[in-house]
Amino acid sequence: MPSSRTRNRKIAGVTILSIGLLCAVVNLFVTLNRSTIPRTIEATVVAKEIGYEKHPGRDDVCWLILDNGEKTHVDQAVWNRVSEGDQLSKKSWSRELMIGENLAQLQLSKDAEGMIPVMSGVFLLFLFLLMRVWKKGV
Amino acid sequence: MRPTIGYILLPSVIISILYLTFLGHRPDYAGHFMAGFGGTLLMIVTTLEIQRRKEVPPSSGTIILIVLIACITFGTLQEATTFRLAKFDEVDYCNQNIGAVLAALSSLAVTPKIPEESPVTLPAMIVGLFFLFGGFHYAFQ
Repeated sequence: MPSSRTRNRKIAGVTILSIGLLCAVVNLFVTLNRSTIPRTIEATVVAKEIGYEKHPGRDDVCWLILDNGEKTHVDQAVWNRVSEGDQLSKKSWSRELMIGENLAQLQLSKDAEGMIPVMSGVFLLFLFLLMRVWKKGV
Repeated sequence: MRPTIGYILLPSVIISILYLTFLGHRPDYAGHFMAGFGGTLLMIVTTLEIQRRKEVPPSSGTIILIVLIACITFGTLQEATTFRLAKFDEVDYCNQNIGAVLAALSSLAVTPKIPEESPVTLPAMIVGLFFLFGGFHYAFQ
C-alpha cells in the first residue's frame, strides 16, 4: 500500500512532466506554424511589419497583416517573399504558397528543423527521469 | 553522492548540448533553457534546505511542485515585462519552462520523500549558479 507521500511524489512527477511536455509541443507547433506550412491561407497582405528583439538581424519578429484582420508572425523567408497587396493562397499542410500568380515552395525554418531533435531529446530525458521518480522508494 | 548529482548534471548538460548543436544559430534558446534550469534548481535546493529544518516538513514532491509553479510564474512576468521587446516570445518562454521542468524532475528523482540533510545540496547549488550565469551569457551573446 503506497504511503500518501509516495502518492504525492508520483502526482508531482506526472504534473511536472505534463507541464514540460506541453511546452515541448508548443515549441514544435509555434516554430512549424511560422513557416505557414500547417495553415490554410486565403487573404491579401495589407501590411508588413518587423519588430526587433535582443539581436537585430538574427531574431527579428516578422509579421504579415492580412485583410481578414489577422496579424501573423511568419518566418523571415516567407516575409521576404511577399509584398503589400499580394494575394496569398495555400492549403493546409501544403508546401506550395501561391503569391498572386507565382508559386513559392515553402521550407521548414532552421528553428523548426532544429526543434524536432531537441524536443525529442527533451521528451526522452523527461520520461527517463519520471521512471526514476516512479521507481525510487525512499 | 556521485550518481545522485549525475541525475541533475547529466540531463541538463545533454539538453544544453542538443540546443547548442541543433539550434546553434539561436544561442538565446539555449540561454533561456539554461537560465530556467539554473534559477529553478537554486530555488528548489534553497527551499528544501529551509523546509527540512521544520519539525514536520512537507513532502519533497509538494515543495518541488510549488517552487516550480512559483518559478514559472516569475518567468512569465519577466518575459511579459522586462524581456518583452518586440513581443512575448512563446518559444523563449517554453524553453525557459523546459529548463525549469528539468530542474524539478531531476530534483524529484534524487530527493527523499521527506527533505533531509543531503550531500547533494552544495554541488546542486554550484550547478544551478553555473547554469544561471551560462544562461545569461547565451541569452545576451
